[in-house]
Amino acid sequence: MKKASIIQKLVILGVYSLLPILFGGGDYQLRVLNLLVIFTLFTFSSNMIFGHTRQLFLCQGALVGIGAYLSVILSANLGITPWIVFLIGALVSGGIGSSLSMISSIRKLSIILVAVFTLSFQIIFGELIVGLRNITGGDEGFVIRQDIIPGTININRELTYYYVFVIILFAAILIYSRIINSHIGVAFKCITEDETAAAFVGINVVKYKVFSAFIGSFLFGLIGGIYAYYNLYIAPSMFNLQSTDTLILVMLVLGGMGTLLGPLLGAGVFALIFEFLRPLGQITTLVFGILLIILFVYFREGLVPWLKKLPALYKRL
Amino acid sequence: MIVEILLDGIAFGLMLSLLGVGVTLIFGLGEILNLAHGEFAVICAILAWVLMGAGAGTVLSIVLSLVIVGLIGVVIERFLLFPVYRAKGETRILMGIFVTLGLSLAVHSYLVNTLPTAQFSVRLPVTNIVVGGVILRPSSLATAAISVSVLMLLAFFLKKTYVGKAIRTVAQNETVAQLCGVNPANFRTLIFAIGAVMAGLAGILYGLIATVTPSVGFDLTIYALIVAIVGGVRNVYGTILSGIILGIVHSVSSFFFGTYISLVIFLVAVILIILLRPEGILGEKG
Repeated sequence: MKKASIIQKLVILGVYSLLPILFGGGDYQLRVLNLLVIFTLFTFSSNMIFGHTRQLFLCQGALVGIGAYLSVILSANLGITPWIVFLIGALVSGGIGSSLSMISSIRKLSIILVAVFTLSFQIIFGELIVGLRNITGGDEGFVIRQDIIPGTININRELTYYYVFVIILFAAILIYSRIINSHIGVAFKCITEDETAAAFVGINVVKYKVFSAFIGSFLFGLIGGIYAYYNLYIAPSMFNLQSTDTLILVMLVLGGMGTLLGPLLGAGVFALIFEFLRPLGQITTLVFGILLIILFVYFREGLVPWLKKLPALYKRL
Repeated sequence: MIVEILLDGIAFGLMLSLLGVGVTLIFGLGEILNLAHGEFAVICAILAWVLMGAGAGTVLSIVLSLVIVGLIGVVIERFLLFPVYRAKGETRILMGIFVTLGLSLAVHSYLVNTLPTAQFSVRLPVTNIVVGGVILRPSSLATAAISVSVLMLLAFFLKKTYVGKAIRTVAQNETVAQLCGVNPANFRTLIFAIGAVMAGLAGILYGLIATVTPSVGFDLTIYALIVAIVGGVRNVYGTILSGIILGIVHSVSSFFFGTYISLVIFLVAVILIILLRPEGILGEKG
């Protein structure tokens, strides 16, 4: 790793560690920060799948949900400790994500067909969760009785979870930059530019797509499991298109696809806008939707590529 | 018995076709996958509900709301989508997806927050008709009749009139259409308005079978997308056929297995069709 890139990662770690102090340690602020880091991680996975290999997965909510439901149900019914179950949930989620990717890339589905294919899968998942109410609790959701952080120790629960998520985020950043700076990253770049041309120069497109889908879905499933234990409650409505996929994609496109800082910045700006608009009350989401349209039209490459171009624009003035 | 289920399925399927054809036409002309399509259906139905509450007659309020939805379509196309058309290729597809997604979020949250109690449904003042032991429900009959006549009108419009021919030219090849003196922008606006009106009509017809509330927009959009894509996203006749097939699958499976499993079977059918014929039911291999 180059020196600059090490410094960049340390700065990111430092900023995320200091955020709770900056915003004051109230429970509300910590909850917002926790959700911010959780969604940053989701956007990170999405960046892997959609940003780098252009597979528009609209089943991200289901992939998160598989991790969440699997870890909760397995540990509640079989009594396995959650920490092992997280890994099982993540592996199952990764397996499903990569098989969806394999089917769609072998059949050479176009970007829109992949979207509808995975969307159908996601709705089926939601229906199954509602239907199997004996195991999953159905529409009313599932309340988790045990916490993975023992309540007897006198520590701040929100703060502990926050640092758990930040450590995972840091690990994800390290693994991500490791992948992107290797030959795999070069292959990803070719695939985003032109898939047919990439296949012509001898890149196994299917292999790399499945690989990226596996990594992304694995992270989705892992975070899904921990998110469930953090929230202490899961319901099917948390894992559908409106409440997960839309938010993730908006954050990703806002930040800039295929960049390291894009997901971090996208999720951060999204959260800031949302918190600033909160005093508007009921029309928050309306203003938010309009703002999104404007941002998409004028910053369609995302904030990170735009910021990178800024010095050149400044010189021209 | 089976005849009645089939008829209900065909009526529901034709309503889906009305929704899907709009998506197909808009995508064919401008390469914009309209993720706000279901919201037009909801806007129209809720507008009709508001007008009916204000004292206008049922027919008058439905007609008025259809006209207003068409105008809303024109305004949105002219002021919101014109920057999208400047992009080309895959960027345009992605931008279209995200701009219409933002639009659908805005409309959805506005309607859900300002009119949470709105619900549109029309009950026809006619009793069930019995023909040879088969019970024909007037709502299904009316849905089927209106959808078929609108779809036939559309087919005639696209096949025979000058404007329709111009629209098909633009859909086939934008550059050549421009060389022939056809301005794609105007026809895109027209087709967007037609799509919006047809979606609005589908929303009204949905009110005959079920109840339209402000929150069903997302579901209707998903139905429209599925029908359009299963039919081959540029093929109008394929879309109509896929709507009918999926409607029959939906009603037959919901009769034999219950509503909960029927949605699963519906979606499994969608996945199978996508995997077996990625180019759509009537699509040609590209």
